[in-house]
Amino acid sequence: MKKIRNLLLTFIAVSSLSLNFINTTSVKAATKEDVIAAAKSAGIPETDIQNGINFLESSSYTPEQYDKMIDKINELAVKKDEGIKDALDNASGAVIPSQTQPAVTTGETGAAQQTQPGAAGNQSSVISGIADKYSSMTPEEKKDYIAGMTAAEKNEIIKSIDKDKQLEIINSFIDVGSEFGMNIAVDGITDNTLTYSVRDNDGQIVDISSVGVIVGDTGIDYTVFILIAATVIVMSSAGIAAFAVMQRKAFGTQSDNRRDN
Amino acid sequence: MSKNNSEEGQNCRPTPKPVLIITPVLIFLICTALTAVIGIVPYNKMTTYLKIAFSDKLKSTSVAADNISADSPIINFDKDRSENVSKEGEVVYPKFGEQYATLSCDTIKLYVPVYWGSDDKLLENGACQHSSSVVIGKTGNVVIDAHVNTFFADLDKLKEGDLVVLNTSYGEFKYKVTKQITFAKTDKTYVLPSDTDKLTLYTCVKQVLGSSDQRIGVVCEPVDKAFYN
Repeated sequence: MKKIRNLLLTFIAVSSLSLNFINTTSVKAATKEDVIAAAKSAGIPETDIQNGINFLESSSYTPEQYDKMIDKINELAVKKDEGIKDALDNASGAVIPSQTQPAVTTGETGAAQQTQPGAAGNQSSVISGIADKYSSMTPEEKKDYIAGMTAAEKNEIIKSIDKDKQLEIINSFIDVGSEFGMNIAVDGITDNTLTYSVRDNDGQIVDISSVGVIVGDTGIDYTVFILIAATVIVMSSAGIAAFAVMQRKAFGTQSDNRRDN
Repeated sequence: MSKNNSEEGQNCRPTPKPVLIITPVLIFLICTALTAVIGIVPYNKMTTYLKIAFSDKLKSTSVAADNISADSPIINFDKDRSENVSKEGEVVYPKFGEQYATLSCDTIKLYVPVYWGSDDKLLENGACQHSSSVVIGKTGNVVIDAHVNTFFADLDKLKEGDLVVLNTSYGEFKYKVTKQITFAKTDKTYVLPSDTDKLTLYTCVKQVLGSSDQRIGVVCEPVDKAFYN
């Protein structure tokens, strides 16, 4: 369950970057190149940027659409930062000024757990590492600190934020996709992977991918098949051996009987 | 003497019928299981050859890929080079699941369709190019993978200097193997985008049980670009 949760969170983090690679600043992009440059400056992973370049090169948008897209992405980025802020506030034991949740009393025993059960119990090492420093910051410094975090740091924290907040971000992300004709659906979740697909408004698949997977699985797993075959061989051999022993014993008994006679 | 023999024959209890019936069945099962295990590699090779030889249709049936069932056969992009070509040209961006290239290498007798996107079902039909790598013909890292059990079974036999050719509808692109690589599944070094032109081919390390976490492959540099005019 924890793994699935982590996958969902990684999904939020990675997919919000990949679809978007659109920038999180207020740059008004008139061309694809502007958007790509903005994405690079925003520290979005290279593979996601490349994915976005391929998508943009094969599609056509007006500058206004780019602007609108950027605005939507900014909203998503704000939600992500809010989630990160909540997680850090929780970890550092600060009061959470959230509109959606009641104020939490501070305390050494982790009062935050009462309102955000998913967060405190799953603090990542990144959160733990910066909690002390973060708690001593002023609100403005905290804002600047979150804004200055790397994408990797943010993604790590998103993995351990409150589940409701995660869903909020996922919904926001899906809204962004829908706005621009891309519909995202999670196709499968296992312990190790989360596969999702992106379709356009015509239902055509734009991409199918697994969260965080860049190096593919290129070997067919024959483990079950070989184990079944091995079991058949072993059990059949054992059966034949058992018959042989039984026969030998029977033959030996008969020989003894004849000798006795 | 003959009397003794006949007495022995009468005293010797015959083999029970269940044993007579079950023993051949067990032997048959052993032979079948052994044949199945030993036959995995030849079976994979045979299906690979048959798919290429008879242009097996793409059958993609995963939940998300339900509507990618392209009924077209494998496309052969080999073209007569006598037509006008140039070093620069326009690429055609493929759709997910579309076969937009063929990959060939005479050294290891490789000829495989290349599909855009990465999906289990697509991997059954050929090599896959991840959508986070650059489209063939554009500047950057073209990353292609395929199953070690089928199309890339002999990838480890590629050596430095071997020629690899990618044919698309818009051009032919030749590469020379410059480096053999081995890396962990979690290592993204070789699959990340780059500013220089290169082709990266990789597959799993062969492993009897389970899927290996190690990857082997080659990095190639371009030696010729020919866009069709």
